[in-house]
Parts: sequence; structure tokens; C-alpha cells
Amino acid sequence: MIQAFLLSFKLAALTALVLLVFGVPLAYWLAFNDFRGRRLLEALLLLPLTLPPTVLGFYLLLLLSPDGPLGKIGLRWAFSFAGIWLGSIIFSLPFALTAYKEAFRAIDPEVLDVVRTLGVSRWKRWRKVILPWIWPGLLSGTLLAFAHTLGEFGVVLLVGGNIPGKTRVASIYIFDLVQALDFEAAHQAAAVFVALSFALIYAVRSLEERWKSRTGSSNR
Amino acid sequence: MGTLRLLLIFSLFCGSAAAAGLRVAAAANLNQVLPELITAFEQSYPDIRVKVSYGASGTLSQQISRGAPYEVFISASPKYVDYLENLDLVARRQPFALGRLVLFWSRRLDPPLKDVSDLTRADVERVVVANPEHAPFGQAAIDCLRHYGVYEEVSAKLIYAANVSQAAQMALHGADAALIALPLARNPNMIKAGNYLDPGQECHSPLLQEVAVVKDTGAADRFLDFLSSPIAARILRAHGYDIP
Repeated sequence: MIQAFLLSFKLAALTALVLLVFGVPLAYWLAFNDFRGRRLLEALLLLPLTLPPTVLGFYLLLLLSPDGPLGKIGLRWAFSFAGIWLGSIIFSLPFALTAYKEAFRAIDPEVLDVVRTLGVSRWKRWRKVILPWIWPGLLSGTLLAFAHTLGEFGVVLLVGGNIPGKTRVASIYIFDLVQALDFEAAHQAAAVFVALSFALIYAVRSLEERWKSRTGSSNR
Repeated sequence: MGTLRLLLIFSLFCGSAAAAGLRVAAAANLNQVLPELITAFEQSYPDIRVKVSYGASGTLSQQISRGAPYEVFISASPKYVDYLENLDLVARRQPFALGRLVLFWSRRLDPPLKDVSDLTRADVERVVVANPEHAPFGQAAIDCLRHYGVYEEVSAKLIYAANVSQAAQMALHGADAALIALPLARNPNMIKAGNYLDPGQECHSPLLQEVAVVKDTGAADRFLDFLSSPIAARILRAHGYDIP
């Protein structure tokens, strides 16, 4: 059980990390720039929200298997940790991106203009104004991606198979126990999951409240 | 920044936790007996850690053909070993046991079922079988229904599970009857919820359990040898398998 939960944490942490590093600049860009095809791009990025995990998993499996287009160029990631990592990033992207964008949109452009006219450097603007303003939004988006990855099942099962220590994350471990009729162990793991998920979602909600009270004065 | 660094350190720590071992992909009907077999094997070879994943034989052979990193494949039918052999993925193969199909039914049914033909009774509303497309026990279940001439009548009641172990679990959680592997029907949770009968093993083609080395390692070879050893035969018999 510990091995499966550790693997889940590893997958969720690495997924959230990638989304934080690449998702925040992407969200910033989408929030403050208007360009041709922006809606198209946004629709594409939000697609995993409605796509069944089986569809995403199936396509990834085709792409990453040894004779798939990506497998042929060396990305033989089917049934490996790298494969479920990629799948989780794509699957949790809409959640992180939406939260990050909301955070950026809450910034009052007038305040930024004032700061800019005062001649504050770009680095200092980020450090002293933007980040203190939006960090609860960024953190809640990242935590949401983390929690969502912990709860992921379909994509991981399809792309990862069910390999102990490599791709058997906690959700699949429980699936396995139920199938093996080992209900006692399944109960234990499921209870841990409920407590964990509750704590995470509670943290996300608390951060959102804090963030709202902070930006509420901007009337947007 | 502190959070980031923490995440990084954490991920490094997790990466080192994975140890090498012998990875086995096994047919789901074996999930009641294989843990005991593995314990016995690891007692003889303390330096080898066996890690096993269960699934329908067809599903597992598909995964292996797509590059899943297993060293050993145990199929509930030679058919799926043939499939991998045609792809040049099998180094060595060996049949080691014969599985038995049984008819399990829920205690709710009164009177109890006497034979396969009883599945046509009106009070039997849902019958679970493993998906015959990729699960040998599912194919055997369909064969058996045809053998007794009740397939047409029962087909509307059939529910398909991903593999035979899930079929057993679904029989516990709502279905009225299931055609599953004997060791699953003997699981304590199943015994509490129902009963089973032997439909006669001539109603389907033999459920020959075959093990194959798909990635040549010394450990995989030793595991194959072990499965044909007298110790393994004793454990398999105790769980309701026949030895060919």
C-alpha cells in the first residue's frame, strides 16, 4: 500500500511541478494577450475536461508504443512512468490553467499601469506586486492539479498498465484489490484516500477564500 | 521557491525507492494461488523479488506486444502465448496447470441452481462471464453455455467483466450467477455469499495455463522451472488446479 501511495505522490508532485513551471507562463500569456486563434487554442487546452480518459489513454498508447510515431523516435513510454506522467500532465492541464488564468485576470490593470509609470523594473513588478497578489491562486491551481492527478485512474490504467512500483498508483492498487476480492485491504486504502482527498480539497478551498478576500477590493 | 525545492527533493527520494525484480504478467484466474507460489519461490531464491500484475490473458499479451516491461507472461490459454510467439517475443514456454470452470450462484437464489440449464430460470436475471474476446475463462464460459444448448436463452442476461477475477467480484456485488475459475469461487468472500457447482469440464476446451519467458533473464528461467516443480504442483492442486 505504501509503495502505491508513494508512487501516486511522486506522479502527482511531478505533474503539478511541470504544470506550475509551464502552465503559469502559458496562463499569463493567454490572460493578457489577444490574438487570432486564441479561442481555438484555449478550446484545445481545455479538451481533456470533457474527453473520456479512455480516449486520451488510447491515443497516448498508440503514440508511445514501440511502433507508434513517438515510440519510433525513442519515446517508448507505453507502460512506463514517463508515459503516465505525460498523460497526467495533459489530463490535469485544464484544472491548473483555469485556476492560474483566474488569478492573473484578477489583477487590476490600473494598478499595474501606475506601478509601471513609476518606473519600477519588470523583475521588481513581479516580485513586489504580481506574485504577492496571485500566489494563493497559483498555489490552489497547483494543489488542484496534484489532487486531480492522485484521483486519476483511466489514463493511468490504459497507458501504464498495472505494474507494481512503476505504474501501479494508489487508485489502480485499490482497483486491483477489489478484483482480487481482498476487500479488507481495499477498505483500508480507500479510507486513506478519502482522508487525503478531503484534506487537499479543503486546502484548495481555504486558499481560494483567502485569495478572494485579497482581490475582492478590486471590484472585478 | 521553498515549495518547489521540496517537491524536487521529494521526487528524487521517491525515484530511488524502486528496486529491480522479476516482473510477471499473470492471468487473473491465478490471483488466488500465485501469491502462495511466489512466497515459496522467493524462499528458494531470496535474491529475487517477484512483482506480479493480473489481467485478462488477451489484455496482457496486447500490453506485452506494445512493449510492456514484463519478463514472464502466464496465460490461461496457449492461444495468447502463440500470439506473442508469432511476434518473436517468446524465448521459452511451458504448460504447467489446468484450470477449472465453475458455476457460482448467489445465496439469494432459492432453490439453488442444480446445473447450467438452470440459468434460464426467470429468477436468474444477471449472469457474469469474463469477456470472451480476451479472457480464456470467458471463452470457456460461452463454450459451456453452448454445450448445454442454453446460450441463446441466457445471452440476454450476460454481463461481461474485464477478466475472470472481476467477474467474481461482480458476482458478489449484484449479479445472480457467474461462470468463473474454481479458486475464485473458493475465496472466503465468495463462500459467504453463495455456492458453486462443477458444470463438467468437458463442456469447454481445456483451460491450459501456460507460462512463457518474454524477456530472457536467469530469474525468469528459474521461475519457469519452479512452476513445474513438485512444490508448485502441490500448491496448485491445493487451490483446485489439475497438473497436466
